[in-house]
Amino acid sequence: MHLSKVLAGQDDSLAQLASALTKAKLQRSLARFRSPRRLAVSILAILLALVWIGQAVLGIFLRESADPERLALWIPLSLTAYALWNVLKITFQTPVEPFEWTESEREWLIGAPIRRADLIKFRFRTIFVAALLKASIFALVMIPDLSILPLGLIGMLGGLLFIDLIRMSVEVFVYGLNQTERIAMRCVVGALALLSGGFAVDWAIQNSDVGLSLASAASLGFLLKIGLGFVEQTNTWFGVLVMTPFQLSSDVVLANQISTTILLKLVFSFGIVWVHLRGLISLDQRWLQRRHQREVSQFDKIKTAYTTRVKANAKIRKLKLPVRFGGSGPLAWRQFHGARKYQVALIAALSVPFVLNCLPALSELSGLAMVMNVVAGLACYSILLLPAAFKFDFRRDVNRMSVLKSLPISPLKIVVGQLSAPIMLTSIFQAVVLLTVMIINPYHPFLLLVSLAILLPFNVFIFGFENLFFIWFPHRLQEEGIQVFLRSILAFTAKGFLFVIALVVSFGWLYVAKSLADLLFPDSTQTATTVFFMLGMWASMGLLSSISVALLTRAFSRFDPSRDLSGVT
Amino acid sequence: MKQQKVIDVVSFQKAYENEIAVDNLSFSVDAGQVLGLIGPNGAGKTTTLRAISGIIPSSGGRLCVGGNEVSSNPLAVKSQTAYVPDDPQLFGDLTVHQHLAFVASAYRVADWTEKMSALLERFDLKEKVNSLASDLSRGMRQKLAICCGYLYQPAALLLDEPMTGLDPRGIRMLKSSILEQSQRGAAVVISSHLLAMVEDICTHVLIMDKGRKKFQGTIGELKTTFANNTNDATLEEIFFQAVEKTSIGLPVLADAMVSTSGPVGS
Repeated sequence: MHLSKVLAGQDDSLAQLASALTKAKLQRSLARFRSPRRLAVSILAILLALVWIGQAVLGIFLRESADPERLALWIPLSLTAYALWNVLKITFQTPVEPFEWTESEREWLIGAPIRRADLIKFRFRTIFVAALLKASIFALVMIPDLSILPLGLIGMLGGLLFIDLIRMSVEVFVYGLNQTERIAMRCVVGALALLSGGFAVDWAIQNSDVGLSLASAASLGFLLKIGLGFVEQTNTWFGVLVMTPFQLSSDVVLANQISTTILLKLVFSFGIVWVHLRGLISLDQRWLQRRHQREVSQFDKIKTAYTTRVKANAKIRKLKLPVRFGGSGPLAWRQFHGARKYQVALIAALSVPFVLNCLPALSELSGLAMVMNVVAGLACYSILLLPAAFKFDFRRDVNRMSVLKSLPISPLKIVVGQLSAPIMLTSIFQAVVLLTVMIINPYHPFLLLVSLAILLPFNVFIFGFENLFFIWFPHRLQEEGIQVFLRSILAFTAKGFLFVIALVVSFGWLYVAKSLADLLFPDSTQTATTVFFMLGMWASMGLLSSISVALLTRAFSRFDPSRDLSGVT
Repeated sequence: MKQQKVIDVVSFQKAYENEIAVDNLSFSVDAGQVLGLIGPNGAGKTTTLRAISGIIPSSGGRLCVGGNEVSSNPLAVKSQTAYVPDDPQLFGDLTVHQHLAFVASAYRVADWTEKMSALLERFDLKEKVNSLASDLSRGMRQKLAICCGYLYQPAALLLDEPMTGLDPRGIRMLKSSILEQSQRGAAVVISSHLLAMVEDICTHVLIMDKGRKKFQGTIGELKTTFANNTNDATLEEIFFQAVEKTSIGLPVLADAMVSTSGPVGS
């Protein structure tokens, strides 16, 4: 039987659709890539791809192979950690439906006489292709460490598929729960996560070489010890149980000969994936029925509450209009309303980076050195984490781009309005961290103001760039598959590239600032260096943020929903 | 002769989280009948059509097509039902031809190439057969969705605002094609705000408001009930009278059953 048929399920129409969609997407991507209108974007994508490939090839040929024992520890551990992170994340979400379908899929597939099991296999196919690509890249990058390349690929494929199936199963499970059950599950999973974290910290304290003190608690070594505290939990029965499927994958990945044992492990590894897929299909079926029965049994209750609410809602409450600010105000106001819906999840997601960012306050550092440490940490999180957490900008408006284009507001004002919410939320997070650090380990308020003044244009730059990338390569937030993976690689490469440039420029400027201070203020070199450095950083950040906003405004002006969103929505 | 009941809805109810969309709706449509589903925005028309076609689950009641219940035998229902939404969401990357090929495969249509050619010719889509769905105009997308629905000759045809985006020629063609479908024996339900069109081609009318049935019967029965036997009253006048009357609690023909009239034109 043809592979695509197996992956898409037994239904011929789905196999046919899957194949047609893949070919069409490829053709569309190539056509877009060659389009003169997107020439600059295509060149940028090629450059980023070249940077990434060059970096990967250099890594393959220049680096020595890693210690097999360390790999045998870290591969299953990383896969387990990623799987558990997915479980934790989805537990605190409220899925609208199991397996998010696009509008076209909902109309054409759900309405068609196709078995639900085949639809799930169709969805699994998308995931399989993406996992295959990820596993291939993993195998290539790990060439120096792998004895048998195909086993490395297949072993990792099994592990990645298992993670995706866990993610899908938890989504289906959470969808089928009622409000009370969902809260209970959140409490249990949250408590387990806290317990695990507590165990890791306790282990780190017990095994700390330098003894327990506030200063040692903030050191990088202590953080690594906490990481090892998590590793230590793999020796418990629970750890062994959770890690077993990934241990099998890891053993296959790192095998140095094809033995019966390895082949058995390979069979087991994919056997678990197959059983899990069957289990997912069964869970989906049972959970849909469960939810349906609940809906039926609660109809009268909902009806009574609805009737009361409709009467109450008929009263028009006073609503204060947002300040217009040339049109940016209402757009920002709308995005803030969107953010309010996710406030609990956001606070939960930001709590860990908040604690980690505050750690330098407990260290031996103080004054400027400590604040710079905190600011550097904030900058790092603002690049890596916050753009993914605060998607209250163009990225959640892929279906509303035509509406945005039709507004009687200038493109610049639209960009300002769309970016306001994530930039302000990020700035608020940074201010809260800096204030907390100030309370724990007091420093001069002037440093707080200077830090915020530098971080603000930095935030504009980060979100401007993130949105620019989105306007150039628009996509749905819930999208899955190869394109998402390739886009992530390109975006990550671009960010890494920018980060390296920023570091080089910063050090270069520090050197220039010191030279200038030596020349102009020989009596107070240190203060002058700091002032010159800060002024230079602020000016360059201001310039970069202006450039990103200008580029984004231009990209938005040129954005053509009929062409740029074709095949996306 | 007793007509065959193709669509049978009994005490259907639907809640979305905390909202009530449809409450205790019952009606049936026989083979060859064309039922106009009318009502103000938010009446529950689209929800009803989507539930019958098996796209969304019900929160209670029984929905049957061709004797099969949606909840217990969804595949049998779906293979006999065509639902054309008001704003068809096509696969932007697929061509017109590929959409029809998918439908032919999913619904196991024999001789689909000939049927497809005839439909494309009829709906002026022949020149667009290799065009991507994302390159089609609003009206053309509507026509393609209708062609896909007609391709497998369903027993139940559910059309949600089918005239949206169609040009006058397209509207005329659609009207005549709906009548042909009913003559072939399909049970047709058309949700529409174009009351003149409903009056033109529908044999029966079901008026909904706020998720509840306000009236069901033939156009003649509707006029008898709400227009004081004035035969020249338009459906629009009757519609407003019906919705307003029923909303202040005057008697309604809520439980009137569809009379067993023959197919249109027979």
